[in-house]
Amino acid sequence: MKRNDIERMLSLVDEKYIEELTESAAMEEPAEIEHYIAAEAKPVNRFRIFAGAAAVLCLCGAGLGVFLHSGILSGGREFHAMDSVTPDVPAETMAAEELSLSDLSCVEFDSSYQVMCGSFAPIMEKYHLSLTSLENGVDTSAMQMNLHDYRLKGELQGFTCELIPEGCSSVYLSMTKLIGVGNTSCLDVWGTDRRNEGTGTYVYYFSTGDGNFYILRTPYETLSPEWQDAIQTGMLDEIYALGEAMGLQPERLPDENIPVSVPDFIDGYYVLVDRISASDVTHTSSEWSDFVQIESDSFLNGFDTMSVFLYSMDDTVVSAELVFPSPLSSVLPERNGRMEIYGNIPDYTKLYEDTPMKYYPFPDGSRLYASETEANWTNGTTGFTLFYSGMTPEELVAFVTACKEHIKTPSDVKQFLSGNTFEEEDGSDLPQIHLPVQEFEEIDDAEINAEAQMEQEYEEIEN
Amino acid sequence: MELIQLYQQRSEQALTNTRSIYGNLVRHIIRGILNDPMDIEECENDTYLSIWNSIPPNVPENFQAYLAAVARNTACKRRSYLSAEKRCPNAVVSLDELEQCIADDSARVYTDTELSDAINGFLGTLRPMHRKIFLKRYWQSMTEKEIAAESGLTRVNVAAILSRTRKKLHRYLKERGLIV
Repeated sequence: MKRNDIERMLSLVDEKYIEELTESAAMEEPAEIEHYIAAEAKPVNRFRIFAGAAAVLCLCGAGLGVFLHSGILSGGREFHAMDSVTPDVPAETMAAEELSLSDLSCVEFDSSYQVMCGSFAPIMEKYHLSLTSLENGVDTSAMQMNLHDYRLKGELQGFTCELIPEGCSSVYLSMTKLIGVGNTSCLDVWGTDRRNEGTGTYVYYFSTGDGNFYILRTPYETLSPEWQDAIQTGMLDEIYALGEAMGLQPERLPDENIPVSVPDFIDGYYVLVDRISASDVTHTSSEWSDFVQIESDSFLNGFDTMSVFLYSMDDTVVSAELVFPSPLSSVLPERNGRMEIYGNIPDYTKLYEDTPMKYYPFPDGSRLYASETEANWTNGTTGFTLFYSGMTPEELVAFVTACKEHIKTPSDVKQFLSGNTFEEEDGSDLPQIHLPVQEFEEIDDAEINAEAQMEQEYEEIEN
Repeated sequence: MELIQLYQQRSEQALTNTRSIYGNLVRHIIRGILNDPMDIEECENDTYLSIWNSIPPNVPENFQAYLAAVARNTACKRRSYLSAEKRCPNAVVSLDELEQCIADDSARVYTDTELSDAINGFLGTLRPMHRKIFLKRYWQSMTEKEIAAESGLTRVNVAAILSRTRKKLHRYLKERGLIV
């Protein structure tokens, strides 16, 4: 079939499908650039706001426990339980060393998936997080109630915490991926809501294709039209050129995994240069990250997490990792909070529900789940999403340990993902979570109503 | 009075009403294929002219869908005459995506019936949401970002759905011997 045939084929789409399409489509006049960015934040916001509300409720009930539940993201599966098992110790008095597995909170969507959360304040204490809210004169007492207004970004060593100003309806991040062709560039734009009257901060991520990774943060509206246009078009070279012209050229970090966690203010902009390198995982950077996709997980709330999916350009996934600023970091001190090899994308479980799940069984019973669902969805590269099963924290740690033992090289991962070593998962024998639970009925009515409303909206979107 | 009736009566009010009611739709579709504002405007006018010339004798059951199809086909025809820089990159990219997925080296000549059966049969196998996303991308040439904004999904989700749907299309065509 040739290109012309494809064009012909598309021109022969039945009118009933066109009718379906045109009836549902909002055929609006083109909007300004910022409209698109703002609009893009909407779906994420709704989940985040909802999850944030859940987190606030949990905070009230459990003291410093913070977690989310996003039953809507579990694809309509029954929400069984959520739990906070954080110690009943005031956050400010809890020493970092006291963090342990028991700090973990778990939310169980069903027997297949869980998300790991934990207490917020101890993490901050442990990693000496500095809240820009303080600098901005925002009362920290608002922190808990507006926990979802905070953005935590995991770093390889330590964390940064950044306030998204109050009134910003975009809770976390909305990502716009503007990916260049070949091994040239990847530009991710994380943005707060543009309707935030100029207070939102946009975070631009650059990957130069050589394993180096840059972050530029600046209020979007302070960008020149050329910059804004460049961001929209994803022309990295152009962006760099413009950046140079504006004195905003991203710096390049040395080879060590040294994240820069303190933004430097430069003429009203602040530039954070960062590098996410895989070099301390198992590979040399040249084998990795022809481009890097950073995704703000939309399911974890209270803590922002950053899934870092690394793709190779030879259509073979080499690995993925999840930067996870949670108490899990306390049990994986050697990784400085970074958990490797697996991701957790519960909201994808709905999306990929008809995709057979496969898992790699580790000798200790742990499983590495993989769903090869994203092949070739961007410029010919291959990605995949890994899931981990509903494991207890102990199992999870064992699992990660097993991953670290078994996956040493890209070829290991490739082998795991080759399909030969995977076993089909029918979902019937997934490990169960045995944690103290807070019954759903005990949750505030308002939350239930909010959940029902969000579920309904989600179903509407689905339909 | 129904638009169709106005067309059948050869009333120029039909064109005015069409532009008024469906102008956004028409421009939206054309913009997915063409880039230049002047081309878009001309194409929009050509679309209305095509509608004027085709109704009667045609009596579309769904005028909006009919108009949308005419608009798209008119834009596609115009695109083929334009230089590369005047083509909408969205349309080029979306077509590239499909081409990478289902194009082959076969010299086979396809009839309209074959192609129509193939695409419509395939679309019939998709879940409505995925079908809409697929058509928005490849029929309407919307960007993933625009689709995400409209659909309430993240762009990653949209990209993933498209990827999987392309794969399904590849399998569908291959199983039916339409591609190698």
